[in-house]
Formats: sequence, structure tokens, C-alpha cells
Amino acid sequence: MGSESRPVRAAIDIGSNTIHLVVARCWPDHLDILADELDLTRLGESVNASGVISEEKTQQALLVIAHYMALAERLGAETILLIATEAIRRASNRDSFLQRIEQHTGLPVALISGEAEAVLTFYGATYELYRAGHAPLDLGVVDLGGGSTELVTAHDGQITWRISLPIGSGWLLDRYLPSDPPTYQERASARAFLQDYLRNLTIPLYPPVLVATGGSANSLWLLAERAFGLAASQRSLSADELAHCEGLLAALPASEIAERYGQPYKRARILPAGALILRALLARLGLDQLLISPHGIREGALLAYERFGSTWLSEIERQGAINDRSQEQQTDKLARQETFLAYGRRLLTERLEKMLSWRRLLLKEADEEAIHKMRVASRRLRAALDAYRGYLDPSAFKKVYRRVKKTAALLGAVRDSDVMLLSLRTLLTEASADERPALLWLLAVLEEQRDLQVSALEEHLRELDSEALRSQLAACFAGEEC
Amino acid sequence: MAKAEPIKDLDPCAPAAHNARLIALQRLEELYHWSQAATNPQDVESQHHLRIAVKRLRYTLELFQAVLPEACLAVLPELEQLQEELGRLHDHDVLLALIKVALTEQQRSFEGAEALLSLSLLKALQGTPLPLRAGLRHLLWRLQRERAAHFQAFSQHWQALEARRVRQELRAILQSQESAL
Repeated sequence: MGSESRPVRAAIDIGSNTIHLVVARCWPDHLDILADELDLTRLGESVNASGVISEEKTQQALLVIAHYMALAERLGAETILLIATEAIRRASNRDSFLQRIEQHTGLPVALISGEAEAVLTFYGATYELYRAGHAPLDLGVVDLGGGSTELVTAHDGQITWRISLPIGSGWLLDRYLPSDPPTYQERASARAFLQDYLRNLTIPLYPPVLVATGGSANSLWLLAERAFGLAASQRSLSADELAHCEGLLAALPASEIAERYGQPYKRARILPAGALILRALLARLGLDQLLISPHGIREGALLAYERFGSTWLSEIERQGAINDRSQEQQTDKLARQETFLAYGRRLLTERLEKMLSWRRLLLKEADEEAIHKMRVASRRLRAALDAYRGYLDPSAFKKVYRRVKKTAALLGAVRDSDVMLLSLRTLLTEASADERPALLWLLAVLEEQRDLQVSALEEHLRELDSEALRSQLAACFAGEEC
Repeated sequence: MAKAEPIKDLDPCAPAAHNARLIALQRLEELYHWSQAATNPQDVESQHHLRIAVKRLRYTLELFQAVLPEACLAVLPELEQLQEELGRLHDHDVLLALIKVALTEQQRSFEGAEALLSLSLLKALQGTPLPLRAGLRHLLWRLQRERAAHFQAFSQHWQALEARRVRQELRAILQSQESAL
């Protein structure tokens, strides 16, 4: 069927950071995009601050939507889909906000659930990969929005697991990064928050490939292309390239980023938060690269409409609900088939995070219990590394192993002293008159030794670069695919 | 403790379950390599190696428990108990070494102490004040008696595991699951 005979449709996504329009000639598995425009309205900013969408933001949104509808009609769109997501779901005045849009446009607005949002995003972000036959058997999609982050894993084109995290780039910016550019301390706090948050997340299967979509991911890619000369054909960002972006965004104010690298000011302001979230997610999944897709929820909605017609939304909500029920069963089944390498990436990443989670606590106070827990975590990590010795990139493996071994040794030294001190103090409680001075002398010698050991441990932990360790672990698996 | 032996002949692209069984089988054999530790109370070195080997097997079963046959996880409480018993022996060995070094005349080394105590601690223990020596000898005697009792408890537990053929049972579970693949 020739392209001229295909219907033109439009989708407008009313999100937390942006209102985004896509107009396309539609096939069930392909889109010929005629227009792709966005406005950084930042409705989520108002919701984060007051719980409601302000009148000013509402007026702004109505103007943008009217402008986009006119553009869609000029391009011949026979259907216009209006979709509202996370920020609107959170707003206490969402009903009146949606009513105002419906009155102005004469069209219904679909306030979709987090589950449907994940399904649509997955369709949108991956349709080009599947169509080109480049999609791996297992992959993940992350949609970094302003108010939330959707994470989806899929096996052979079917969603196996998904989660909607209530953290987005706008959200992180508003809470953790008030300065422009964000200070070192602000970034460290945001990073610590993200690591703690993501560490507690149970991810049943780690995808070997992660596709990122959303405005921040695409703007970061554009920034890397313009600032660091990334090839335009390379639709990906490595962990190092993201780290460079974060460095640049920490060095220059948003106005200068906007001017030098052709980014809208409001977007440039959000980008440091986006870089932090994507880096934290990569580390959490033990990956060192992101594929970047310019497509997302809007394209997903257009494809869904083309596949299911006017029942597209109920079909997508149904798929989300089915996934919810069968998620556990599906992941259990897939976990049994998981390869040794895939299991290892998940295992080692989780074990490393567990060990590192004690680092910050220990640097605050070298508490006996924390030392013991971190030592146990380091030993479990070593046991996991021992199982994979010889099956990962040797150079990266050696670096990780050496650091973990040294950490374990220093923790072990303090822990051994703690155990000896505890035993001697127990003996002291029932010591005879001649044993008592001997015990007190031994305790004094050991306490002095422990102080020295704690100093050496603290110095090591201060210098232990968690980010480098995470990157090295991810590098252990680079190129080790089945 | 010798470094953990690399596991040969794993297939990184095979299911994790297949490889986990091979790793657990090797760690099980490594553990029984040090079984003489249970018969000779004076064999401190073997007891130390056995303690580490128990820990390695325990961690292996725990790290891969999602893909190992459930039946083999029944051995975990036994391994934890063994680890505790051997840990108590080790703690006593360290304290005994500490006191022996403190009682040893300057410039003379005590055999085996360097494996249990750091060099800086060995140095700090030199020059024990003379009036403390009698008290240290009493402590040494007390700790040796305690250690003997702890060894007895460990040895009895070990023998009970041998009688129950725990090793053979675990090996059979790991092997039968493997051949069933």
C-alpha cells in the first residue's frame, strides 16, 4: 500500500516537563513522521510546588495544545489523540484541568495509568529496532520523564516486567538541585538519594541492552553530539559520555549551555538531573551504554491506534493489567532460562551495591556493626567474583577484584580486632586478680591497633571511587554477550 | 587460605542453573579436602582452611539459590553451624596466638603467629611487662581448655554430618539435577 493512502494521525502527550506533538502517516509497525514538536511547559513544576496545576500553567497548556491541534489539522491529521500522564495523575485539580482541555479542544483526553504509559512507551521506543530486525531477544526501555521514570523489560517483543518510579528529572531538579549550575554537594546528595532508592528496587531480570527515551535522554545525546563531537549516526551514550555531560552541566550555568549547545533554557536547566538519573540507572543495571530513541509514548499511541483502532486505549490498559497478573510467572520462567552471564551481571551488580551501601555509613562513623556488615558484603562479593573468574573481561575483572580484595582485607583487620576486643572484655568480667592487669594491658594494645586500622580503612574508603568501581564492573561484561 | 580455585569448563551462555551446580560441586569437594581438620584438634591450619571452604560453599549456595534445586538449600543451616563452630575455634586460636606472642621473649618468633596476627600487632606485643606474665599464663590455660571444649562440639557435629552422609546427599542432588537438564 502506498504511503499516500495511509492515514495521517497526531498524538499530543501532556506530560510533566513537556507537551509534545507528533504527526505521522501511520502503519501498524511503522510511522512516517511529518511533525515532531515540543514545548517545555513544565506542568510538573507547579504540581511539585503546590499539588495543583496553576492557572498560569493551565493557560499556557491550553495555548500550546491549540497551536499543536492547528498544526496537526494543517498536516491533514484525521485523528488527534490527547494523552495525559504522571504530573496530571498527581495533580489534585486534574479533573477540572482535563475538563478545561476537553472544552477547548472538543476532544477527550485519555488520562492513562502508569501501566499503560509503560506499554505505549515500549512500543514507541522500540518499534524501529524491531522493524529493522536489530532488537535483541531481551531488552529494557527507560522513559525518563519529568515526574516519573518508567522502566520496562521485554523478552522477544513481549513486556515481561515494568515499574513506574515516582522520580523524574523535573522532580529531582526541584528537590535536590536548586543551584544553577548545581553545586558539588547538591549533586552528591542527589546521587546518594538515587543510589539508595534504586538499590532497594527489586529488578528480576537485568536486560543486556537498555533503550532510553524521553526529552532529557535525547537532549543529553544532542549535548554530547555538539559538545564532544559524537557521530550523529551513533544513537547511543556510554556511561563515560554521560559522565562527561554531567561534568559539563556542573561547570556551566543553564543559560550558557542553552546558548553554546542550542538547547532550550528550560531543558538545559533540567539536564543535570537527567544525567544523574540515567547514570544511576546504568550503574544499577550493570550496563555501560544506553541506546537513545527519539520516540516514545506518542509514537506508541499512534501505533496502538493503528493496530487496535478506537479501542486502542482499553487494549493497552488490558495489556498493562495482564502483565501485572502474569508478571511474576513470566519472570520466574525467564529466570530459569537466564544465562550464566546475565545472572552474573545481576548478581555482581547487586552485590557491589550492597557493599557500597555501607561505605557512606562507615565514613560517617566506623561503627562495629557497620564494619561487620560491610565485611560480610565484601566477602559475598568476592565469592561471586570467584565464580566468574575466567569468564569476564580479564583486565576489567582484575581491577575490580583487586579493589574488592583490598577493601575486604582492611575491613577484616578491623573486624578481627573487634572480635578480639570483645572476647577479652568477656574474659575480663570473670577475671582473677592476676589475670585482670594482663587483660587490661592486652586491651590497651589492641585498642591502639584498632585506631590505626580504622584510620587506614577510612583513608581507603574515602579514596574508593564508587563510580569507577561500577564502571569497571560494567566493563567486565562489555562484549561478553551470548 | 589458598585462593579460590577457578571453576573450569563452565559455559557462560548456558543457563545459570547448569553452571551454578558445577560451581557448588567444586566448592563441596574443596571443603572435604580439609576434612582432616575434624580429627586432629591441633591442626589449626586445616581448621582455618576448612572454615573458609565452608564459607565459600555457603555463599555459593546462597548466591545461586534462585537457580539451584531447592533440596540442596537444606544444608545451609548445617553450614552456618559449622561456620560458627569453626569461627569460635579460630577466635580462640587468634587469642592464644596473641597471648603466646606476649609471653615469648623479645626477638623470638612464635610459629604460626604471623598467619593469625598482623605484623604491627606482633611488634606492639613485644616487651610485655614482667608482672603481667603470670596472669597471661592463667589466661592461656583457660583459653586452651575452652578451645578443647569447642573442638569437641565441632568434631561431634562433623561426625553426625558424616553419619548422615550429608556430603553424598548434596552431591547427588547437584548431579542428578544436572543430568536431568
